[in-house]
Amino acid sequence: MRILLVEDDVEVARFVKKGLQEAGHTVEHAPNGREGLFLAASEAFDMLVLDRMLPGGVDGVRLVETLRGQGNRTPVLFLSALSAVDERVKGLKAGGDDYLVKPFAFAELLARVEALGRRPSSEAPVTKLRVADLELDLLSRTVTRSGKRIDVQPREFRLLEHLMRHAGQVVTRTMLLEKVWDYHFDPQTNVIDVHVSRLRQKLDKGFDKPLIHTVRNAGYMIRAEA
Amino acid sequence: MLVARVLLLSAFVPLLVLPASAGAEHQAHDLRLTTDTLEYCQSLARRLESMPGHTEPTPRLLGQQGRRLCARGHVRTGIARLRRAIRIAASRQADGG
Amino acid sequence: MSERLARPPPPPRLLQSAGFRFALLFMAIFSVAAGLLVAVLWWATAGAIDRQTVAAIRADTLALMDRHRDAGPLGLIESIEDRMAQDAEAVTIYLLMDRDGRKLAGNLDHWPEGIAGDGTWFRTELHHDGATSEARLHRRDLPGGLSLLVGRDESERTQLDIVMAEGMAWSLGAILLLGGVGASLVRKALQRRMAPAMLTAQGIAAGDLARRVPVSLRHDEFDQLGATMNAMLERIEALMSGVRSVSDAIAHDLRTPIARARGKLEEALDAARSEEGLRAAVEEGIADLDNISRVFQALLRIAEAEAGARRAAFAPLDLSAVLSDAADFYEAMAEARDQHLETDLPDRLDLVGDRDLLLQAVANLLDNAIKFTPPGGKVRLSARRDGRVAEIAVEDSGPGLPQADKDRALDRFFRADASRNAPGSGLGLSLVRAVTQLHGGEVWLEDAQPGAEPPGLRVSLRVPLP
Repeated sequence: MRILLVEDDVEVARFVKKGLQEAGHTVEHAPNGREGLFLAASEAFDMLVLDRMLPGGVDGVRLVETLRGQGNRTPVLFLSALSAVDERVKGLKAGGDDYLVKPFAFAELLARVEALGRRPSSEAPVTKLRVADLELDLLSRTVTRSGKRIDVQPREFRLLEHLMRHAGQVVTRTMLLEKVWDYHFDPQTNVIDVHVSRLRQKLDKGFDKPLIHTVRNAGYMIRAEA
Repeated sequence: MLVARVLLLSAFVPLLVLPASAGAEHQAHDLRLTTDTLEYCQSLARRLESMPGHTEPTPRLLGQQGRRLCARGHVRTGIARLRRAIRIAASRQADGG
Repeated sequence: MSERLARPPPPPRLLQSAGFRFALLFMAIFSVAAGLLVAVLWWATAGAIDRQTVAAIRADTLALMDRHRDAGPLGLIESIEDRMAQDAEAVTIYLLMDRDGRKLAGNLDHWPEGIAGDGTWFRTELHHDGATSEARLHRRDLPGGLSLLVGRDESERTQLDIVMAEGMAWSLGAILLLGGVGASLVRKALQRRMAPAMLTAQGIAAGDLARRVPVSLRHDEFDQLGATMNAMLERIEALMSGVRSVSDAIAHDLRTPIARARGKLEEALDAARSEEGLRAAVEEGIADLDNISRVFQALLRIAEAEAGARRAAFAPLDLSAVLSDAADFYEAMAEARDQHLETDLPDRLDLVGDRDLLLQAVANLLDNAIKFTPPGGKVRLSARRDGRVAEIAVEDSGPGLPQADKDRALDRFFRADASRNAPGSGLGLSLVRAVTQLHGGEVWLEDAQPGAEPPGLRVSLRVPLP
């Protein structure tokens, strides 16, 4: 993906750029809002990563509002030191697609960037998700593996659905918390791990190939081969 | 502040000025009444004498008092008595016929 | 500096004083009202007399003109003489002149100058008995070249005017005097009533935030102002102490883990012999940093909740749904520890609040309960409506807390000695308290099974319903 990074902190910008490049993306960097807006408006990007507070008169929110006003629909991920809920709401209202609070793990940023960049691939609504021999029917809300029905609870179904929609991508614990449970909170202990391992046991019971993989220091990924 | 003060004064000015200005419409040069003189007093006395009702007790008494007052210099009160005497005498006269 | 500020300011100059201006304004309004009253009175008395005079003159004139028409000039002269002779009040004035300017009858010594033609009304000065008075006269011209003046002496009305003008002057003086005295009294009273609020504000400005406006029992506007100021000051002080406690908390709760992480990294730098060992130390360092930022986030949330800043995010919500989400979330954890998580929730419990914070509070309680309950134990989450209050309770079958610890458990950073080394920030319960207070409620700690051993712990939040 071709990504525009607008970030005034040199060190943060350097390591984010390096990390994204290592993950195979092309990164352009603008150190302030004015330059960022110029680049974003004049060139085509697959994704914008914006600091919420930027020097030079144009901050992240203004930048996105301006772009959206021009009909530019490029996905936007905000990075911000402002963690208050209303700040997040402001960012998303202005047209941001995701909001990540500093400090963050690079793995979290990368997972979110890839999730955003590969968002709705097809316009037609999917009714079935498939990974290897695992099948999830969104209409009948049933899960089968190799044709064998697996009983899951509603929350587990949503967890699996989210993982399968992002098959082959890393999904972090925070992303699961936000997307599957729909709360912004700190669960104190890693309860998410307990939920995932419970789901994993149900899916892998009687099969020798595990489907849900733990990605060290990052989160989980569902994919076909080990 | 100023407004309050102006308001206050303007409320009274016309009232204080009104009665004083009323006299200035026509300047008369020593216009004088002639019905406050001793002569008029005497003419009233004569007029009373000539009236038929002047012998009645009240007009007679008032007439005498009037004449006496005029003679002593109290012309205005004297004239007032005589006029009352005449008025009473005239009304008796009117009643009588 | 502060002593200079703590003295009351000099009272404003007379004309700057609001009290004085109010009193003057009041005086002005009162004066206008008095003036209007006098005007009405004057119109009703002097005006009425005036109108009576005019009516009498007009009637007299018409009668004399009739007489002239019926009986000719001689009859007219006789009538005039008659009227003069019977005028006991000495108010009538007549003058009849012929075309040559000779006086035929009447009691005016000569024809006044400058009188316009037939039908004129005018006023003039008149001498009689050595005094001057006013008279109102009316001129009519009669056939045969005769000119007639009929009038009335107006000294009675003049007297009235003088009396009224004098009365007005006296009352004006009285109004001015009383108004002036009243104005300065009102000014003094206002200053006296404002002084406490002003002194308090100055004390606050000088840095003494504990000052409050003394409120009297009068319940008047000044007391309302004082009470409002006090409420504002309470709020400001709460905000200030929130900020202060955040900085205390940062010092207390962040320095220690930072020092720990720093020490570990330093040690690894010196001691690690292999790349493997160094990598492990760095990873540990990152985990420590993550933990520090979680504590930091928790501190910010507490501060936001305590300052009431999050009330902006309040929205109507179904508390039952939030609680069952929390139970659903932690049930997996309880099960993993071989515990049983029980719920007892109503179908619906409508509340206005902050969904994320409420969930965080309940999550903290459930997390604590699960941590302190031994395997095989029971944790129970319940909610019920009690009149205008929603009660949320989390009970466990753990060891519970001694009474002394229960009293201190809500203090920030409190950790029972027994749990000194259990994971957790020690901020869990203070966040619960801050969230509950943000929603206008209270937190209670008690034994879950009083008398039993172990007694367990029951934490309940009582939040008022809308």
